[in-house]
Amino acid sequence: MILKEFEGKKLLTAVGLNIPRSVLISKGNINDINKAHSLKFPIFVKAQVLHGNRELESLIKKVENKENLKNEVECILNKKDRYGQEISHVIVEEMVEFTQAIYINISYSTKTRTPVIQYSEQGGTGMDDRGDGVSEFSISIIEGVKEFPIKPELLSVLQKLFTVFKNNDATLVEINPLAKTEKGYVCLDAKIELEDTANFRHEEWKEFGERSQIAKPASAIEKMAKEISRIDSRGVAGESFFEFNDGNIGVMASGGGASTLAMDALLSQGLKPANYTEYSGNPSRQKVYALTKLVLKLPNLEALYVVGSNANFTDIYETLSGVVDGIVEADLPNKFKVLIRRGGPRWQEAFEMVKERLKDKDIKLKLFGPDFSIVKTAKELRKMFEEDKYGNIN
Amino acid sequence: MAILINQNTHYLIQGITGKEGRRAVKWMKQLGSIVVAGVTPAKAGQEVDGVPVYNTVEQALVNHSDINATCIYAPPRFVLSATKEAIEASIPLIHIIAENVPTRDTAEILELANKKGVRVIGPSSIGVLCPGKSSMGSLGAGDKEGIVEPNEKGGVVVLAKSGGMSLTMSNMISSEGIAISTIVGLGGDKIACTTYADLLDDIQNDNEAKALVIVGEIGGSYEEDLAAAIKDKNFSKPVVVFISGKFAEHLPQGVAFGHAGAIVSKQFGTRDGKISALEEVGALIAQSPDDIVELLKTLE
Repeated sequence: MILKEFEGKKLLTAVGLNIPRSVLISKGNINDINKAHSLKFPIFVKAQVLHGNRELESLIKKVENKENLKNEVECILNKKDRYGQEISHVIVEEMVEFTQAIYINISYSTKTRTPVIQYSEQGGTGMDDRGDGVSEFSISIIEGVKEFPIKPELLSVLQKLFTVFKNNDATLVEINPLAKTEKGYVCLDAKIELEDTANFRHEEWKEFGERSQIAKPASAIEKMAKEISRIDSRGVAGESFFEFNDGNIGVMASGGGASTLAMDALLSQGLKPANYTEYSGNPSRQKVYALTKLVLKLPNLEALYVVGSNANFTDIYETLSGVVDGIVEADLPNKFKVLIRRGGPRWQEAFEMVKERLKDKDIKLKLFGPDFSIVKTAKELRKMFEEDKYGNIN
Repeated sequence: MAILINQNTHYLIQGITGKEGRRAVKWMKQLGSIVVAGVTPAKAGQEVDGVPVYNTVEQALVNHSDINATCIYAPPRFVLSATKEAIEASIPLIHIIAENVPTRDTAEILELANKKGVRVIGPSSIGVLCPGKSSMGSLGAGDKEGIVEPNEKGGVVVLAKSGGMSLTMSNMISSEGIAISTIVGLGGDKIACTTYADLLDDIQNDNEAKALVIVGEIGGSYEEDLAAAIKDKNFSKPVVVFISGKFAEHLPQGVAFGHAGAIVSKQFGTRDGKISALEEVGALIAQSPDDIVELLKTLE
């Protein structure tokens, strides 16, 4: 979960870090603007969005006097962010005079397999393209930050930032810039990402509410898929769901590795997936049924591609029962194509069941067991489409 | 010989009375593993499939001093405490199957394990299988079709992040008559307590390991680290690599793996980057999993 700047800054002040004086204004409470009149002008109006580099879209605006403030706030609240999401909040923040803008982030490195601090003397915009001049320090997750030889005066700020990082189960705490002022260091911005899997020890996260994981707003179908994944706590189904434009193949993949593999194979055959979603970890029949129903609602669908690796413990009979429940109910075009490739517990039994239950439907069905290559299933699916066009070419 | 586990591995199962724990005992025993004890707090005195249950790891060790590996079948929120118990007891090999373990907990587990000099596989690892010798975890669980044929003379070592792919790949290789010595599912979490590179010395030193198959994925730096380790350690056995994830390049912007925080490791993580790094150190690159088998055949 990516936090908005004002949410992140709350976590910073909770450990005693400095932030500029500011007022939060939401779309519904525009009158809160009056509170901003006590701030020292000029001030910045900053849109609260999930992405960075806000100045590129004029989502940060410097305002010189009170008279223009309301106009500018309304103007930004009426904009959309880079990915088309509504802007629900802005903060109005005092300008801070500083002598140096530093870049700091704490995250996990797969190189050292520890938390690391990344530090640059030159913070500000454009950090994404700047590899040079950034130094990296590994930190013990247990002992925290004990020293910071490159800039000892930052030690206390870093210790506080590390507390924010660890205690909130963050995967990223980025302060850019950290401003050096006459009165000490001030965090002018904050980008904080929390790790959803740790929500069992963070009751307080509920107040952040639902939000898009990614910067692009979730489509209606993507939102529904998320709800399906919460039907029960067994396995995963629909947790990741991406809808693609112009596709005609509904995809239900299983197993982390096999899922990406199946998508690679589809694309390499010139086929067009309408979505990507996966189920795994032995989910319930009901969950797979709900997910199948959802996939089959995608527009212009001509085929359903159910492909997974040889399962280690997912009950194939139960999960494919869910798939068939969804197919049976759906209103599908003639000659709708269904290709299933699965292996794992009870797969033979499951295949018999699929054949039996779909035999009276106008469906072209192909079933492949655990010995059949995942990659070749894409070729088989392409053949099914070609047969539609040119007749049986075998 | 084999890597990580063998006929002399004596297993403890933590979380043995849970549903997955019970299944694991049955399956591991079916594949010839010696499961000597289990632990579930407040369940001492019970038995699961003939295996005695204790309240703590310490009590299990008092009664079974031959325990030299443990499988953690606790739910994600209890993984840290269960694993700490095993590390404190100096059990040399620890397997964690749970998915969704917070990275903070994994980082702590890895730091403690490194200090103590014990090895942790996972989290989100399906397990390790030495066909015909021993099985740690749930690789192939419950499906007799999924059992990879044992071979006395050793064979290929298969390392994959994904549990499903480690089994699928091994089935494919095995069905072509190529022997497999060990299969390891390393888990696909951000922090893997054991990476491909961590196992290179074991594979180099094991005379039954003839070649190495890597089923990699985009994201992270473990494939790049492997390439560096192959070079540094002068690893001399053939390496065949497949990396999936081409499609991720088609995902809409904002879905990309990694984030702005990864500024200095920007060059890491892409499929092309991984492939060229491994190609440079002499690994054979398979364009598809089917290619892996073909490439292995050329080695014989």
